[in-house]
Amino acid sequence: MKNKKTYIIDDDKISVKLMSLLISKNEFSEEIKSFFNAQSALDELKKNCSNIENLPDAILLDLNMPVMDGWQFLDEFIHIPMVKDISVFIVTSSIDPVDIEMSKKYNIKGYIMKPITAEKLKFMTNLIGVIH
Amino acid sequence: MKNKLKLYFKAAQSAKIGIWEVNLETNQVYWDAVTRCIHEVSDDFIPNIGNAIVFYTEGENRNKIRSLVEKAITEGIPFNEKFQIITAKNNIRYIESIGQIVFKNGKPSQLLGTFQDITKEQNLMNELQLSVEKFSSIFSSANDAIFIIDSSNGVITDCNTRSSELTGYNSSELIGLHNSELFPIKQQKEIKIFLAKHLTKDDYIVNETYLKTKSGVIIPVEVASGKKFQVNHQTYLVCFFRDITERKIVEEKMGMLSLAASETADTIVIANPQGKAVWANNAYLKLTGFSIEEILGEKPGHLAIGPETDLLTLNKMRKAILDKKSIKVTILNYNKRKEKYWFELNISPVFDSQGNCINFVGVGRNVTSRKEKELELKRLLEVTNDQNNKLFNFAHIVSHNIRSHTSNLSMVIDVMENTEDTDEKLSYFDLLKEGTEKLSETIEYLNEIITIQENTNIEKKKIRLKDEIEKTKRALSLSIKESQIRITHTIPEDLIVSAIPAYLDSILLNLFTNVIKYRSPERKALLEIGYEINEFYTIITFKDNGLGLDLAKNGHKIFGMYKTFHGNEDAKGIGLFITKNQLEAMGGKIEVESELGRGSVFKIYLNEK
Repeated sequence: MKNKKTYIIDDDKISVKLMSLLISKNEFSEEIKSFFNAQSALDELKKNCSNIENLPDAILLDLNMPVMDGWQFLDEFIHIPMVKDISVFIVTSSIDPVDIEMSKKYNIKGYIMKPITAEKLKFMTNLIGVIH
Repeated sequence: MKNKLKLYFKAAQSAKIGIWEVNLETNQVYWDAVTRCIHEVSDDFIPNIGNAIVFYTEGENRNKIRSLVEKAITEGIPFNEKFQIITAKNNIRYIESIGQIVFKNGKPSQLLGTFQDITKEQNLMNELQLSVEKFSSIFSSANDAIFIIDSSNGVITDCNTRSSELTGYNSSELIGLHNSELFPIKQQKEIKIFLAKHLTKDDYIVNETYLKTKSGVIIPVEVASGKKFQVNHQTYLVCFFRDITERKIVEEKMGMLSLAASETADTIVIANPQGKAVWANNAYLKLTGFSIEEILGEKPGHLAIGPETDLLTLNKMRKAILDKKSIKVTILNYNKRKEKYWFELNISPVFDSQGNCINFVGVGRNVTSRKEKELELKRLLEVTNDQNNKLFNFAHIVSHNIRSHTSNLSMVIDVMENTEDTDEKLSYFDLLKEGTEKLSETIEYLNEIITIQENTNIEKKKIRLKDEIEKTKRALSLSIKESQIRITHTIPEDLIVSAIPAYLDSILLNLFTNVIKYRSPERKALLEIGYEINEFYTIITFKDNGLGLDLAKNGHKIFGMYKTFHGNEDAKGIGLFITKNQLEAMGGKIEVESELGRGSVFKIYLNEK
C-alpha cells in the first residue's frame, strides 16, 4: 500500500467514524489519525515536519469547521517547511460552487464530495504520490 | 524842422513808441526814455552798438537784426521787423523795431528808428496760434467723425478725416452734402429732431442711431452734440459720430447671455467673494420661493438649510467657498415654505486677470424626482441584497449542514450494505440513528429561521427593557451563580423598547448565555449592559471581558450558522445566527466589536418605528 498514513480532519464525529470504516474496508490506508479540529492537526504537522516517518501520506480535510476552517488550515499548512510531499484532499459535504472555485487556488490533489464511496477512495489512491 | 521833430518825438513818447538813433559818423547810440524803459535799463546805462545788440535773444533773432542794420547802413534799405529781446531785468519781450537811414550830403549819416513793446499782442497771437493748432489737431485726429453743419440749410460745411473713413465719402464729397444723405430714411426724422434740439438747447446730448455709408452699409453710431458757434450771424452745429458696431455686438451678446441666464430652467445665483448673493435668476426665485430682495446680500445656502440638510455636505460647500474652489454637491434644501427639495449645485469661483476671486457662480437644478427615484432604487437594492443574502445563506446551510448529515447517512448505508455480518450491520444502527437525529435537528433549526424571517409582520409590543433583563437573569440564575459573573446595567426604569416579546426573550437569553459560556478563565467575568438612543434606534450594548475573538479572521463568520470559535463542546453555532435573524425580522440589527483575549461588545439595534 503506497498510502501508509492518513490524517482525517473533520469536526463531525460521525463522519470521521464512517470515513475511517470505509478507509479500512477499502484498504485505502494502513493507519488513520483523526483530528476533530484543524488547529490540533496543524500543531501535529508542525511538530513532525522534518520527520518523514511521522508525517502522513494523505490528508482528508473538511472545510466547514469551527475555530479554524479548512481554508484557514490550508493557508497555514503551505507555510510549513515539509520534508514530504503530502497529498491533500478536500473532503466535504459542500456542493457550493464558491467552495469548488476557491479550492482551485490551493495546491491540493482533489475536491471530493461526501459521501465517501469505494470508487472515490480508489480514485484518490491513484492520485497519491503523483506529481502534477 | 527841429521843432517838427520835437513834436514827433513827443507824440511818439505819448504813444509809448520809443525812438533811437545811431550816428553813423561817430557811432554814438541814442535811446529815448521809452526805449530805455522797454529795455528796463538803469538811468546811467549808455547804449552803444555793441551792448545794444546783446539784448536780442541769441541765434536767428540776433543775426536778423545784425544783418538788417548792416544792410540799412551799407545799402540804405529800411527795415520793419519783430524781435524777441531779453531786458536788463531778464524779462522776455517782443518788440517791433523800425529803422531808416538819414542821408547828409548824399552820404548815410544817421540810422533813425522807433522801438515798440508788442509783448501783449505777440502773446495773444501765440495763444491763438496754439488754439488753432490744438483744435485742428483734435479735429483731424479725433477718433470720432466730426461734422460742422450749417444750421440754416443742414449742409455739411466741414468735416475731419475720420468722417471719410466712417462714411466712405471723401471730404470733398462730404462738404456741401446735406446731412440727411448720411442717414437711412428711417433715421432721417430722428436726426432732424436731434439737430433741432442741438440748435435750441445748450445741453450736451447723445443719441444712438444708424448711419448709411456711401456703399449703403448701415452702421450703428452714437451721435453727440458739440459746441455750436456763430460766424457772421450764422450758427454752425458741431456733431460727433462714433462707430459703435463693436459695442453693439458685445451688447447683443451680453443681452443674449443675460437672457439665457435669467430665463434658463437651471437656477443661477451670483455671489460676491464673501458668498453673499448679488444676483439670482427667475428659476432660482421660483424654486426657492424667495423674492430677489430677500436673496440679495444673504448667503444662499443659509436660506436653504433645514432639519434634514446634510451638515457634512454643507461644510464641504463652506470649505470650497473659503478656499475659492469649485464644487459639485447634491443637497437636501428647503424653500421659503419649508418644503424639501433635492438640489444639485455647481459652485464655481470667478477670478479676474490678477487671480483675485471676484464672484461665485452657483448653477443648480431641482433633482428631487431623480433623487427620490435614486433613494427608492437604493432601498430596493438593499431589500434585494438582503433577500439575496438570505437566499445565499440558505443555499449555504443546505449545502453544508443538511448535506453533511445526508452524506453521513449515505455512508452508513454504504457500509451496512457492504457487510454480510448481521452483527456488524446492527452495530451501524446507532450511527444511523445519530445521523438521523442530527439531520432532524438541523431541519428544526432551519424551520425556526424560516419562521423568524416570515414573521417580519408580527406586531411589536412596548416592553420595559429593565424587566426583561431581570427576567433573563432569573432564568439563568444557576449559571450566573456557577460562573460567578457580575452583571451590571444602567437601564432606567422607564426605558421602553418595541419588540416581539418572544424574540427579545430569546435574544437576551442568547447574549447572556454567550457571555457566560465564553468568559475568560483568567479573570472574574463581567457583563455591563448599557444603552443609547439615536434618531432611528434604541441601542443596547453588552460589554464583556471574556475570551473575545479575532474579528479580522472570523468577523465574516460570527453571525453565520453553525459557526463556533472556541472549540467548546456545547457550542452549536446557532445562537448568534438566530439572534441576528430575529433582530432583522424586527427591523433592527446586531453589531460586534471584539478583541481576542480582551472581551467583546455586542450592540443590538432595536428599531422603534
